[in-house]
Parts: sequence; C-alpha cells; structure tokens
Amino acid sequence: MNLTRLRLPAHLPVSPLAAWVGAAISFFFLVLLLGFLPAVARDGEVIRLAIEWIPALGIDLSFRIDGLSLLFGLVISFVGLLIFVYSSAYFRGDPEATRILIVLVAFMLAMLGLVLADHLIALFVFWELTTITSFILIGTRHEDALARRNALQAILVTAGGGLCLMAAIILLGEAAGSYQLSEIITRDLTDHPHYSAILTLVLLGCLTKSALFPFHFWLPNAMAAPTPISAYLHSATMVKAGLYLLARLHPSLAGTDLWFWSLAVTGGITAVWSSIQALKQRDLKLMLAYTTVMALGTIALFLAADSGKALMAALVFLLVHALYKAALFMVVGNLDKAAGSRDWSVLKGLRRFMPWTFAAAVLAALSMAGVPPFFGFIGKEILIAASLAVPAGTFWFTGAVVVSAALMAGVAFFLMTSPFFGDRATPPKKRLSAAMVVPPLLLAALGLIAGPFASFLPITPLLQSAALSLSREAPTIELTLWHGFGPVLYISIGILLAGAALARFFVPVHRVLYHSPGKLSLTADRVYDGILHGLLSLAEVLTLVLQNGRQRFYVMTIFSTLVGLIGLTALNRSFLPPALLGGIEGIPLYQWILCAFIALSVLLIVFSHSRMLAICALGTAGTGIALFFVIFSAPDVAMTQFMTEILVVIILTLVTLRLPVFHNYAPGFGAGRIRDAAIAIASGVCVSALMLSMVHEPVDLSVSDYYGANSYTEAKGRNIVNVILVDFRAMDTLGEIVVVAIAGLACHALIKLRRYSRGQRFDARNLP
Amino acid sequence: MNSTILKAATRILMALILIFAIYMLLRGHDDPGGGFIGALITSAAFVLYKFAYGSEETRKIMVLDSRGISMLGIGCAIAAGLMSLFTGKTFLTGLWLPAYVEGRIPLPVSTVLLFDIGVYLAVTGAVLTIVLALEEDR
Repeated sequence: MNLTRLRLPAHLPVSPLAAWVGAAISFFFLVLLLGFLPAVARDGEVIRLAIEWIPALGIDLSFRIDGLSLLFGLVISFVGLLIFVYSSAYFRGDPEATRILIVLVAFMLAMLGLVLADHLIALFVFWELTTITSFILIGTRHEDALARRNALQAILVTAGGGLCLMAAIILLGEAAGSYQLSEIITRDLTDHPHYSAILTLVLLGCLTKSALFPFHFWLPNAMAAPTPISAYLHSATMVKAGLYLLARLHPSLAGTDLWFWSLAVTGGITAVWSSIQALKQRDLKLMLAYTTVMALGTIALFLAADSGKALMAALVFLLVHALYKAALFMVVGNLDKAAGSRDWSVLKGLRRFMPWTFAAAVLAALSMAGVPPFFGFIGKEILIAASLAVPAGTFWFTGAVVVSAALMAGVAFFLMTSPFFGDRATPPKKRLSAAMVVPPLLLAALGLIAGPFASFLPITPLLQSAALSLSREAPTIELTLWHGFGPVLYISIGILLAGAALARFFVPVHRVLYHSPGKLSLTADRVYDGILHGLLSLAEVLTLVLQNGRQRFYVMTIFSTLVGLIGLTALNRSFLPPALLGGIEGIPLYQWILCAFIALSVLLIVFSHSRMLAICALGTAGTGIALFFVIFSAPDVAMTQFMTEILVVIILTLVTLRLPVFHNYAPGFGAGRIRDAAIAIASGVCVSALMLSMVHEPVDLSVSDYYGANSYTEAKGRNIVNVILVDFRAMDTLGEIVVVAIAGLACHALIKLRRYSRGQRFDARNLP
Repeated sequence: MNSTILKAATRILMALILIFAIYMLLRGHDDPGGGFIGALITSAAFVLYKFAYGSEETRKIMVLDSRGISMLGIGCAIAAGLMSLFTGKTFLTGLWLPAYVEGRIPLPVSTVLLFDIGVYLAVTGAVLTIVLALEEDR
C-alpha cells in the first residue's frame, strides 16, 4: 500500500515538460514503426531483432515485428502521442505531474516491449512492468483511501493472473521446446498432454489482465486514476495486453472446444453484462469504463473462433475501439476540467461553450454507435457478418453482438447529446487550451476518415497481415461500407434504431436499473473483498497463535518440533544409537572431571533460585565445552566459544537487570516444570543419539581433503577454517555478517522503539 | 559502577586486549584467529570499558556509531568482493597484491584481508549495538 507513495522528489519543477518528453518518445516510436509498415503490411515480412541478454540461460532480448505486433505498436505509440499532448494541458499546475508522467512514459515503453517481444520471458517481464506502473498510476491520488484500495485491487488481480501466466509460460516453453514466440506459433500444441493446464493458466493470466468476466470488477474501480491515465492504460492499451497474448498464441492453442467455449462464454457474458452495467452509471467516466469492458468482451468472443473472418472482425473492432474510446475519455476529461463534474445529470447545454469538444464527442460517439460512414460501422458490420458465419454457437455469438451493440449505440447517442443539449446551461468554469481539444478531435476524425477510405489507407493491409499472424488461413475481406442488401445490413439498421430508442428513453431505463434490487454489480467486488478479508483474518489468527510474544512458548515449540522430527525419523528408519557406551574405558580421568564440571553447572542452572547464578553457571558450562574443543585441537572454535560465553553472560546479565524478579517461579515439581523438563531431556537425548550415530557412520573426507590440499596453494592460507570462511565460502560469510548486522539493528529497534505497548494486541489490519 | 581500581585497570587492559584482537585478526589467515574471533575480543574490550566508564564515554571513544561500524563492515566485505570484478574474475575471488618484504617474503595484502576486516567490523558493530542499547534504555 505504501508503494503507491513511491514518489520522486517533491521539488521537481511543476511544468508539463515531462509530457513533451513523453510525446517526443512516442513520436519517435510511431515513426520507427511506421517505417516497418510497407515491409510488414504489403510484403508480409516478419522482422526480428535480437540482443543477447542472459546467454547462460538462453534468454535474449529479441523482438518480432509482424502484422499483429505492428498493429498494437502503432496503436500504443499513436494514442500515446496524443495522450501526452493532452496531458501537457491536463496536468498543468498539478504538483505531481512530473511523477505521473515519468511513470506513464515507463508504462508506454513497457507496453511497447510487451507487444514487440519475441521471447516469452521478456514478454513476461514487460507484462509485469505494465502491471506495476498501472498500480502506481491508479494510486496517483494516494491521499484518497478509495484510490489506494482500488490500486491494490488492480494489482492483486492482475499480478495474481501474472503468476498464473508465469506458470503458463514455463509450461508453454517446455512443451514447445523453445521460449521464442516465433518458434512456438509454428507448433500446434493442442495435442500436448499439458494442453489443458497451459490453456487454463494462459486464460487466467489474460482474463485478469483484460478485465474479462469473472475478473471484470477491477477495471471500473481503476477509474480512480486521472482521466488521461484511464484513457491510455485502462482503455486503449494495457487492458488489451491479455487480448494481445490470446491473439498471439492463437495459432498454437486455438481450435479446441476448450478454447472455443471458454472464450466464447466469457466474452459473451462480459460483453452483455457490462453493457447493461454501463446504463446504470451516472458518472460518465464509469460509463465509459463499462463500455470498455464490453469491447474487451466482444474481442475475446471473436478470438474464440477459428475462422479468418472472425479473427479479422476481432482485430477491426480492436482498432475501431482504440480510436473512438480514447477520444471519448478525453472528452469526459474536458467536461470534468471545464465544468467540474462528470455526472450526466448535472451537465447540460455545454454545446455552446465547448464547440470543439462537442464536435469530438459527436464524431467519436457516431463511430461507437456504428453509424455509416464511420469506421465503427465497418467494425460492426464485420462483427455481425462473422457472428452469422460462426460454425457453432451462432445464436450465442449473434445474440451477444446484437444486444451489446444495441446497448452501446444507446449509450453512444446518449453521450453525445445529454451533456451538450438541454436548456439548463451551466457555464464552464475554465477555458480549455488547444492541447486538450485537438487530440480527441483528431482521434475522432480519424474514425470518420478511416470509414470511407479504408481501402485506400494502409489500414486494410495492416489488419490483414495482423490477422495472418493469427491463423494461416488468409482472410480476404474488403473493408468497405457497402456490402449490399442482406441480413447483416438489416441487423445493423435494427441496432441503430434500438440504440436511438434507448437514448430517447435513457433516463427512465437508467432509473429502473439503478434502483434494481440487490445491486448485482457489486457481487464480484464483494467476493473480492470477502477473500481479502478472509486472508487477513487467517494471517491474524496465525500470527496470534504462532507469534504470541511468549518467549517460553517459542522455545518450547522449537524444541518440541526438533524432538518430534528426530524421533519420527528415528522411528521410520528404526535406528538405534549404536553401542552407547562403547569405548568408554578409554576416556582419561581429566576428561571425566571436565564432564562432571559441565554436569554440575547444568544442575546449578536448573535448580538455582537466582537468575544471576543461573547465568554464570551457563557460562561455566559453555566454558567446559570450549575446553573440550581445546583438547580435540580445534583452537578457532574454542576461542570463539570462550569469547561467546563471556559476551553471552554479559548480555544476559544486562537483560536480567531489566526483568522483574522470578515471581511465577515454582521451585518444586509443578506440572509446568515437569513438562519443561520432559521437553529438555527429550531434546538432549535426541541430539546425543544423533551425534553418536553420526560418529559411527563412515565419514566422507573428500571435502575436508580438498580444502586441506588447496587452502595454501590456491588461497595462500594455512588456517583452513579461516580460508574457508573468507575465501572458499566467502559468499556464505557475507550473507552471515549481513544477518548479524541486521540482528543487531533489530535488537536495537526492539529495545529502543516500543511501538506496541503492553496489552495492545497485534493486528495485521492495522499495519500501514 | 564507580570503581577507581577498575577504571585504572581498564586503561591498561583495554589497550592490551585491543592489540591482541588486532593481532588475532591479522594472523587469522595462517594461524588460529580471524575476523570473527577478533571482533568478539574487541567487543569484550569495549564492554569492559563500558562497565568502568559508562555508555556515554564508550560511545565517545568509539568515534563512529556502532550501527555505522557494522554497516561499514558490510561495505568493506562487499567492496572486497567487487574488486575482483575489475579483473574479470567472479565476485569475491581473492586477489593478492604482488608486494614483497626485502624482495622475497610475500606481504599478505589482499582483498581476502579486507573481507576479513569487514567481518570484524560487522560483528563488532552488531554486538556493541545490542550491548549499548540494553545498557542505555533503563
């Protein structure tokens, strides 16, 4: 949660400079990608670029530019260019503008990387980068608890899907024998034994990313982000990443019933359900968010099919949507900035004050509704035609398309009229600069131009080469406005009429839906909340049980576990400590005396009534053991042990001074004492038995021999122990000293900073 | 604790213990000793000083804060490891300075020694952090 506060220094200059840098970068990529257009779209070439990245693992940074990635890349860089121009005005005077825009640039680069990457691992890295940047951008207004919650929801859903995707990528790479997409898409993996696992995991990754049912709920919540962010990430680009991957893997994974029905059902439900939801909204931006989910559902629906026509329809609609939806988002942003509201029941009669925004709204909405001669009309016609031609589930496809398209047309007509017409004029507070008016107008106008001139512009070959990347069956579909009389045209006219009627009676329909019982829209959101709440409660219970703050309990748990594990292993292997007392007669007298000294110390520890005495006895017991190290010629260990004993006595004494006196100490043989004694004796017996049996095993000396032979020749040291510590296994030592230093810091923090005072319960939900 | 005898003895003992600690640190590569043992001995010296003169005085003679000392130690160890990267070898490969006393006895100056000094500082800092924190917060 604190990550949303990840911020650059606050004193960065408040200027839209970053927006122009972003615009320059996106312009660069736009020109770069346009340069590939003739080769890829006309000649059908596939361009590959590769840079070695991690050669040891066979991972390289390779890029593949074919029709599909070029289509996506052009959309990302072109819409990005307009968004950055728009942002330069939208974020003017915003103290966080630079921070937001830098993250937005990072997002754009990651998104371009995602669609251009040829290696699955690189694709995954870019995929996760878009998730993270999206999280930061949704949480832009991090002072707002709701924005934080929504940002967290978005990252939990999409990153959870990302984990599934990672598993899918590994399975996919192993199944295809290569992690290069160029290789994978030449294989048909539908017969592979892991096919259903791969497909399920890929679907989980893509459905979460693209906000498809049942993971659709995060996208409307992501509208907490500022409008340019929503227009770019959560409409035009990032949410299409899932669809991109589905399209990309189409040649290898599609063609089975599982693929067909899972996508058809998900896509259909998403399209219809979210277009109904759109009618329920009062906030224009939320309304647009739901129509975006509808578009994503429609594209997924058509990716289910296998025919060139259906795939072409999906891609055409993707382009149509990118053109009109980003424009509409910017229109809503303009309304918000100028009139100070996004609620359609407040906004009225703005046509006179914002003529250019009005023009952009009309152009974009007409394309969205699918009115001829807009590009949206072509998009809708081809959707209908493809749905009628689907071999299985024709009724489902056509029904979903017709219902959602009619509802969309209604929303579109409503969007271009309601805020702009009407008598109750609310004069806008601010004037908008050209940078906020031109980008939506330009995008919307492209939707108009692309309609009649679809066959002259390079749009048709681009879309055809993109469709060719999906299936080997070359689609020969002409993108023209007039297809002659037929069922497609009649359905199309019917949709427009239904849309017009819906727009006319929008307010009553809205009211009925708004007051519908149960508020079903919240269901998925509630399930999410329930799961999250359950997780936190589980964490709390576990913490309270395992981390209850009672040192005695911890020690008891640790040693009981030790006894249990050793005991179980011993029982399993049915091992007995060999010859417990074998060779006992060879022990010299002074060693017996030393043993007695240690035993005496231990008895003193256990039965002492004074803490100080017990601590000192602990020290003498340790010293006795250190003497054994001396006897068996391990001077390094002995020295360390001596010093440790001294410091342990000092530190324990200091701790003891801070503790209350033994008030619940029962010197007799109470139940607690007997239990503690049992655990202690059992641990001692287990460890002794283990040591004895280890000593009796033949010892493998090859490692010690290696160190002995090489410590002077290779590491120039005669003290093997030290050479191992600082040279042979220096990496381990480095890790250990870091642990020691952190332990020191942690002790310091525990002693000095007591945040949770006595009696206050730990609660995971109170954590920042 | 305010004992003149302890204070007077500490002045002499402290010097002896510290010299011994550094001796242990430096001879560690060939004979029993090394950074870890040296660090424990050094810690014991400072703990003795703390009992004689109190934490305030101890902090003064330590110059650097104990947490800083342990971070410095980790820094030394990492720096020792990074040096080998400049010669194209892997992280933490030991490098030895080709220096000789009187032209024939090799002078053991190496990144390994720097690493051991890092261990020494890190452990000393950590132990003293705990001891001093326990003493002060009462």
